Amino acid sequence: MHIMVGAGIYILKTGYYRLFEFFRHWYVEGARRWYSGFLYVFSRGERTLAVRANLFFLFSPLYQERNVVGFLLGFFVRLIRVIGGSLYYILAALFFVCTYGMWAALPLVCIYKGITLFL
Amino acid sequence: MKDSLIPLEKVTFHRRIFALSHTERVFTRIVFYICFVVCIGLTVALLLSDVEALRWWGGLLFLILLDHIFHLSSAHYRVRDLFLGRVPGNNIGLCIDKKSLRILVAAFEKARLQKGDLHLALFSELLKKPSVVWICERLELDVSQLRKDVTEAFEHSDGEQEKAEVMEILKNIALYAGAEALIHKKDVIGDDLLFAGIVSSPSSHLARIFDMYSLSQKDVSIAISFGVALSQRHLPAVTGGFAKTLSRIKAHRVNRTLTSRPTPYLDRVSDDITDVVRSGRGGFLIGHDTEYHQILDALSKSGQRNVLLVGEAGVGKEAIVHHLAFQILSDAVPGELFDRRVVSLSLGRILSGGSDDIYTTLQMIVSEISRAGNIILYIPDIHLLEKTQTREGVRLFDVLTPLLRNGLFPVIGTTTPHLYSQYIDMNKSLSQLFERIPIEQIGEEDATRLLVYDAVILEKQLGIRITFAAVRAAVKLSARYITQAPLPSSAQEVLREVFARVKRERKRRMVKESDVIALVEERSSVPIQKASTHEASELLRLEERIHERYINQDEAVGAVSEALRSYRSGLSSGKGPIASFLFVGPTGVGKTELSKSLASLYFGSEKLLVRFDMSEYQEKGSIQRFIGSSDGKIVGAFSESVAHSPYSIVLLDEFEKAHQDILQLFLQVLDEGVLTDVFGRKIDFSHTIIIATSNAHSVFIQESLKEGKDIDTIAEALKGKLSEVLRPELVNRFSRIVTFKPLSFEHIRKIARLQLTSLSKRVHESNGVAVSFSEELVSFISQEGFDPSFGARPLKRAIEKHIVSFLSHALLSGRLSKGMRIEMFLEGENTLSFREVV
Repeated sequence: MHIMVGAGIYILKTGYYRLFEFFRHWYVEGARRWYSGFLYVFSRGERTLAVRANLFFLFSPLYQERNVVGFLLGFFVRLIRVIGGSLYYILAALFFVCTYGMWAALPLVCIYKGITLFL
Repeated sequence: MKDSLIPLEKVTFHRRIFALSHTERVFTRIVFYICFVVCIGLTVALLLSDVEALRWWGGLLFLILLDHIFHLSSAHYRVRDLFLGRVPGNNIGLCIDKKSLRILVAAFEKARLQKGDLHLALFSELLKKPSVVWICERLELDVSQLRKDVTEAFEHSDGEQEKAEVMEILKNIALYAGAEALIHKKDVIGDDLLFAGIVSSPSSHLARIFDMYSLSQKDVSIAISFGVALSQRHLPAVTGGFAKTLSRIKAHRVNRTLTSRPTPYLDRVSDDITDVVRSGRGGFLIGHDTEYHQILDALSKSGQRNVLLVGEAGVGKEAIVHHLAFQILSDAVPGELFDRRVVSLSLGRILSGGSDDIYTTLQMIVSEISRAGNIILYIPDIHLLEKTQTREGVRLFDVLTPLLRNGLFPVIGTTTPHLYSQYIDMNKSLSQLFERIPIEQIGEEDATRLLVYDAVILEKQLGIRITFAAVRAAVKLSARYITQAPLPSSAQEVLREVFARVKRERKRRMVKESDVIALVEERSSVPIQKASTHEASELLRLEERIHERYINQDEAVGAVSEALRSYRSGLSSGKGPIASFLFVGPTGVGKTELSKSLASLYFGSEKLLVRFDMSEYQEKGSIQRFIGSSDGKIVGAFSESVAHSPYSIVLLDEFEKAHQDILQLFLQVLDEGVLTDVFGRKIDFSHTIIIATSNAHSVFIQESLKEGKDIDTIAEALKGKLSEVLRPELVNRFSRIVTFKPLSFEHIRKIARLQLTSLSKRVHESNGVAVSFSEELVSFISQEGFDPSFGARPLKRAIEKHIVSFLSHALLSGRLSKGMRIEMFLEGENTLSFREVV
């Protein structure tokens, strides 16, 4: 009988913990995965888009043409690239947020539908 | 904001499963299996239900089951999170994966039931796991024997411990394992890390077993990184990049931020390292952190930004430059270096380009670089600028200096310390242009980490496995015995060659430590393997063997024999040479002869006797001939000899006569076993026996002996007297001062017998005549060759004068011919003759 009590408590606690773990995995670990996915896309994108480097060189002349045209063109070309790159990152971030939103909603939808339809 | 780590005292270890008894654990396991099956059935039933609400609940259950299956064997939390304080209760137990947790439970149970040592129980359980067996095999451990020893030790252990104590032990093991997880960037604690953990914190029972198998935490840790590297799909390209699927090298003539201009002319005479690194070839760097940051600082500052990397060939200068290019590609550099190209200039291509006017060519290149605005010019072997001349006799350096002086673009040059002294340091206008950054060889630990990658790449390429013990030996032995090249190149070279050898022997598929030892032994001529039974017996009767060809001086013979025995049994101090002796005594008593005998008998050849007559180095300037001149034009006879024969006897005749500056060098040699030459190169003396001889105070020795003083008293008195000719700190650094006794007539007679036997052998080998000598003749020669002031020195002359000259006459006149066996004897007082004997 004593055995049954100890084991029973352990089983109940483990069951409760498993349920808690499911939500932690789904939301906390899930968010972490999405975030690292976004960081990966960002770092890959920077290799080509170079938003940070373009910002650093925003006021440098284009192709070393150290005249008014070179400086103006350099500024606008880089500004366009910075804006374009930023837009790309914003879109990428939006995509990750949306997909994560869907992911996060899935269990909640199941619960909501399960309850409302049952009632 | 940087995350801070929690203090180790806050880490706890608890899992509910340890609170259950064995029966409870079995019971709960059965219940869980049943629940799992029931849940699957329930999910299927709910999903197939006609009621929509139930289908939604079935969906949720399905997600929970999926999550459970996905995390079936994983840990709850990552080790990194634990140290960042993100794990509930800072419980390290939640970072152990489920399979490893089962091992802990099994060991815990075994130790409690059988009242044995927990460490041994856990180690025994771990030895059943394939990942641990893999590590042991790679460490060249005999796993089945190890299992037997552990089981036996467990059966004899008495380790009944309180539960709290047990949990504390488990926590410690898990903590060490957690630290290893951070090092190897592993998320959770698995079998291999528990293995590392237990090796780091063994019980006294287990520590004894680790000592038996020479198993250390460091080795296990690097063996784990070996496993991590093997499991990686793409490896850093340290050995030519063949382990990774490489992309084509694409030229990027204009940078991403469009600040640069194309450089078509430069491209023809250079290689773009940034493009090479972008394609996956190189960029990986282990060690050299300080030097790399020095380069970054120098290149990012305003004004002249030229750096000169000065280091021996193979030390990793090019790897640093490749790493810089790699970091530039990742924007992991200061803003001033953003989006730059590292371009390696090929002087050969410039010169072979056929252009008549090199000056114009170089000006065009420099002007292109200046206009491009993003080039970091890399000039390997920059001393060639000083050495190379155009057809008109103009040095390339004279052409480039004014252009470099403008500081329009940063330049990285490389050269060796020797060539730096010879070509650059002398030329102030060139040396002032650069910030000199010395590149030292990396440490053994870094070299081992690097070689692990090399080994894995070679293993994958050649299909031959390598034990980690072999990798470790390649680094350790190369650093110690192959001193001509620095780490890591010396170790990489050994590794490649040993792989090639094993591949040639088609039957073998494994590179072992013994293969590496054999190769290094061959290359360095230093005996590295433990003394074999034959060698050990030879060492034990070394005195006897020396006396077969050497007479008297028992103290000196005993001293050198003892020194060699302690060296080969691994008991020498480790610092300094094998041994260093100051042989003091009158001339002709056998000081040099003993060195020769030892070189021939033990070191295998008299060629391994590196001999210097120190009376030739009496002037101040002679130090240049001894260790080389700072401009590199004079090669140091002493430093080069030992660099090429690191395992030898160094004989320094008439030591006291050398100039004080030279004697000063021996303070470091005798103390640390190292000589730093003019280029800062460290020459290893740790496998040499240094014998310095001196005739100083011979009269004192002779008189003291006549007075009947014993040799130890004389040696002690001599020590004080020697400080008149040698500085006391130098005298005290010798491991032993050996006083040689003058030779008596009886000794000379024995030496005469030895020398005549040796002559007889020579005559037999060269002319086929067997010669023996009568006792009267031996006595006559000994008499002729005996002079108490000169020891055995006149003996050689007496043999030459009487015996050699007689034999050569007889051979040339035809009185002696091949196949004859003769005995030489004395006829009358001093007339020699011979008779044939049967």
